[in-house]
This record gives sequence, structure tokens and C-alpha cells, in this order.
Amino acid sequence: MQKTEWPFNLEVGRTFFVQSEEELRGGGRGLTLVVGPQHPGSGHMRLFVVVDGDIIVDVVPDPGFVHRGVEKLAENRPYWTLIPLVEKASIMDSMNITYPLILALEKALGLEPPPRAKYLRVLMAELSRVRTHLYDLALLGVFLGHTTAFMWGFALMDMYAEVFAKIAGARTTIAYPVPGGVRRDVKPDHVEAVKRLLEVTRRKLKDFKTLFLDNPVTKARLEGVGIVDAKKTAELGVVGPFARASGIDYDVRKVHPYDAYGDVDFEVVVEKDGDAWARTLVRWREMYESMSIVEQVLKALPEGDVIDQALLFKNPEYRREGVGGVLGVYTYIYPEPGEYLAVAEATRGATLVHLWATGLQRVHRMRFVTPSWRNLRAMVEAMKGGRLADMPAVYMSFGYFPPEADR
Amino acid sequence: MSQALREFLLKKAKLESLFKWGVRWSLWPVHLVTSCCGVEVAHTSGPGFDAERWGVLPFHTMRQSNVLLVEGTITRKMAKVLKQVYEQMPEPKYVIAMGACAVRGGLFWNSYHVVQVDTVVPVDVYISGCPPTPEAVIRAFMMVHNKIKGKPGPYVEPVKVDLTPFLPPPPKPPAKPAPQQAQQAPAA
Repeated sequence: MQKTEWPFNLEVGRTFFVQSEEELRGGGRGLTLVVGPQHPGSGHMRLFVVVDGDIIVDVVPDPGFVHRGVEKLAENRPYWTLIPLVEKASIMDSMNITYPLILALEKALGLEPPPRAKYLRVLMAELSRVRTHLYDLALLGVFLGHTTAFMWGFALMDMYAEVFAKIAGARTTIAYPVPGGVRRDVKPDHVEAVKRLLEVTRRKLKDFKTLFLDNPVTKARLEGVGIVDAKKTAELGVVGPFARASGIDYDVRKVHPYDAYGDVDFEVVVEKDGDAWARTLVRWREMYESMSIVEQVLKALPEGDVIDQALLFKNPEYRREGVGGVLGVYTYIYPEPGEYLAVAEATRGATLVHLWATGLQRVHRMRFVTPSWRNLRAMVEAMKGGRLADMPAVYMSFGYFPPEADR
Repeated sequence: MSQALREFLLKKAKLESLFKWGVRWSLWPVHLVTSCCGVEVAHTSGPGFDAERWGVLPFHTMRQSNVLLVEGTITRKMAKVLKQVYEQMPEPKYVIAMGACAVRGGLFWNSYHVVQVDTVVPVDVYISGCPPTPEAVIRAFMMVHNKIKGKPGPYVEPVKVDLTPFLPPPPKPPAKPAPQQAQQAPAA
């Protein structure tokens, strides 16, 4: 058998301990550091970093510490229970990450959400997007050592959690969409709460910018760090705001608009440099774009039902009000056999769900591709050639979220 | 020598309650931020529900902390690391299992890659919720306080309940095909 490269030539059961730490590689010296899975970051992920002095020569990632087998579990559960399962991949982004599953299920069941439900979904999606960008920026701050940015980011996120608890019932895992619409309607005082939230966010983001983005230390740590140029970005398959930071102008909301994204007006934020600073700026500006989308949605929110009328006709015995309401009718609906594909733009990139349904209520196979998994290779390539202290900056500038990547 | 000094202080000078007070009010958890529950622990340390009021500061290394806050799902690949982290902590140590995934597997209970935390490390306090609110996390730290003081906390013994009278009747087996169909199939 061909000898595999280090560290994978260690036997099974011994890969936990690094056998040879220092070695001579073609004249250079490589010291292997194990940035172990337990680190005070956003999830468990191990990186084998080979350094020569202070320069990183090679990085081998070891993901999979949070792999919970979502795709395998989806084969044995009824289709309406897949929504919380898929949502646990990235809970602060919960509306966006369940979006492709809902779109695919609606194709499979032949349901169409009413206009009010479409606008409500876009509302929650953009609020989740702002929330996730705040989370990513706060964690970027704490990875660089700026704990005040972490505190301020999370103060704002707490307000979003409270508004989510008002609208959807839970702080983080809201599981808001259902096939055919949304779970709950939005009352007028919820709309008022969202408007106040946007005002407060705009006010606080100005201070956040002065604290974090205009800070010369942050700029010195993020400018010119982890550069991935446009050609390499396209080759490595980077998605989301991290591709837009290298000059690739691709946003699923503009290319294949779904739900109410065709009716709202927003810009796709693109930067040219491809370094960590550009990635931070793209996410910063996207927050403002998302807030403007929320304002447009709140102005144009149509009246009506929040769940498809066709559901009631499928089983007229189910009542509309009461515990569970019309949602119990899913036990009587079966998806059509076939393959259904849906793509949506989650905060960190394009998310994809491919359902293969036979006539049963369990889907036969669900393939779920998340953006963090697709950005992993680019993150690792961006770390090479930099200094060791740049590694956490690059790690979080790519917004790598291990539970999302490992599913 | 410091062991002898410690024993002297504990027994002769009766400073045990002072030591317990010190341990209680500076429990620095190693937050094993696995997945979803990590967001709620970050909220707990954030300004909304400031956990540092109770001395709870999430710390990077486990060699200088007493509490292991296991948040979220522990997979088989991570279980080995969890055991290492637990063994690297100094005495006295406590373990808090946070979230439904840490308690009994949660939403992923029948996954091929998920283990129950109390088979790997001995757990002192369980928090239920998916994810638990920051108030629940702080309440769990209060329960650890009670445990350090020696007072018994709320203890729920799981009870086995027989649900067979309440279950629906088992589905009928499908009807066997008629013999003439079996003869037509090989012919066609």
C-alpha cells in the first residue's frame, strides 16, 4: 500500500497523538502543532498546523467532531420533523438554513404559500441574516482578542433573541416555516417591536463601527491576511459573502429569486481584495442591506392567511385554531415520488437540499450541503503562507461554523 | 508540603467553609462549545445575562478551571477528547451537562455517532432544554453551588412507565397475493 502523507500514515487508534513533532522536510523545518478540538471558539474542529518558525507551511483540517448524522437520521423520520433537525446545523441562522428544505418539501407536496407567508418568511430570513452576521463579527472580535466587540455583538443579538421569542416562540431555534406557509402569524405589536429593533441596531452599529472596524489594530490584523484571489475562489468553490469578497458577484437571492425576493430591492455587496478585511466589510454592509429589506417587507406586508388553503381541503376535519391547529394535517399528506432540489442563500453561502422522495412519509434520502463545508478548503488554503498568529483571524474571517460544516 | 498545609487548614483551623466559598464563587467553566448550546452560553456570558456576576468566566484552558460545561452533542469522535479534557482538570471538579443532547442524546438520540455524556464523564447537574435559556444555565450553576455546600439539590429519579395500554393497535400485516397472480408473473 502506498504510504500516505503525514499525519494520516499513523495507524487507526493512534492518530490522536502526534508521533513525530519536528522533522526535516526538504531542507526546511516543520513543527506540527495540533490546534485541538477543544478550543474556546465556535465549535469543535481540529487543525494540524505545520509551522516553520512563524510561517505556516501546511494545514491539514480534521473536521467531523460535531458530525451528528443529520442526513442518515432524515431517512427514518416523517418529513415534517425534518425542520428542527436541519435547523440545528446553524441555529442563529435558523430561517435561512431551513429555507431550502421547505422549498423542496413544498415542491414535493405540491403546496404554495400565500403572499403573506412569503413576506413573513423573508422578514425572518433577513432578521436571521443580521443576527448571524452579528454573531460572526462578535466571534471575529473575540478571536482577535477584542472582547468588547464580543460583548456588544451579543448584546445586540440578545435583542434579536427577544424579538424572535415574541414572533416565533423561541429565542434561537424557531423552526418558523412549515410546508405551505409559516407557523404563526405576526401581530401588530410584533411589527412595532421589529421596527424599534431596527432603530436600535442602526444606532448601536455606528458605535460598533467606531469600536471595532475603525480600530487600527483590527485593520492591521485583518488587512492583507488570508488573501484568496478571484480565480482561486472560483476553483475552490467558495460560496456566500466570502466569494463576494473576492470579486465574484453571485447571490442566490438575485440569480434564482425565491419567495418574495423578487419584489424587494437590494444590492449585492461585492469587494475586490479577497483578504480578511474585505470579508468583514462585505458582512458589515450586508447587514445594512438586510435591514433595508426588512423595512421594505414591513411596509409591503400583505394581508391574508399564513398557511396554504389547499392544506385545509386535503383534510377538512382539521380545524384552524387550537393546539397545533391546521398543522396536524401533514399526517394525511404524502409527498409525490421524485427528486426535488432547492437552493437558498443562507448567511454564510448557498445552501442546498436535494430530496429523494418515494410515496412514503419518510423521505428516502436527503442530501444537505451547507456553506461552511464548502468554504473549508478555501479557509485552509488561505492560512498557508501566513503567520501563526493570523490563523484565528483567517479562521473566523471565513465564518467557519463546525456544526454547520459537519451537520 | 502544601498537602499537609491544606489538611492543617481544613481540620485544625476549620477553614473548610472558606475554601468552599472560594470555590463556589469562582467556578470558571471550560465551555466545550460543541454546537447550538454554545450560542446560549455565549449569551449567558454576554451583557444580557452577565454570568460573571456569579464568578462564572468561560475560560480557554481546562488546567485552571473547576467546572466542565458540556454543551451540546458529544459524538464518538469527540468522546475521547472529552475524557482527556475531564482528566486534565484539577480537583475539585464538577460537570454540567447542558442541553437535551448532552442529557440523553436529544434530537439525535438514535444517530450512529452520538454518545450520552454520562457514559464518558460523571455528571453532576443536568440542564434540559433545546437550547436551554441562559436563566436555566445560571440556575444550574446555583445547583452546583448547593452541591459544593453539601446541600442536596433537586433530584429526579427516572421512572419506567408501561405505556402498552395506551399505544395504538399494531398495523395489520398486508394481505397475501392470490395464487393466480403468482402464476401469471413468471409467464409474463
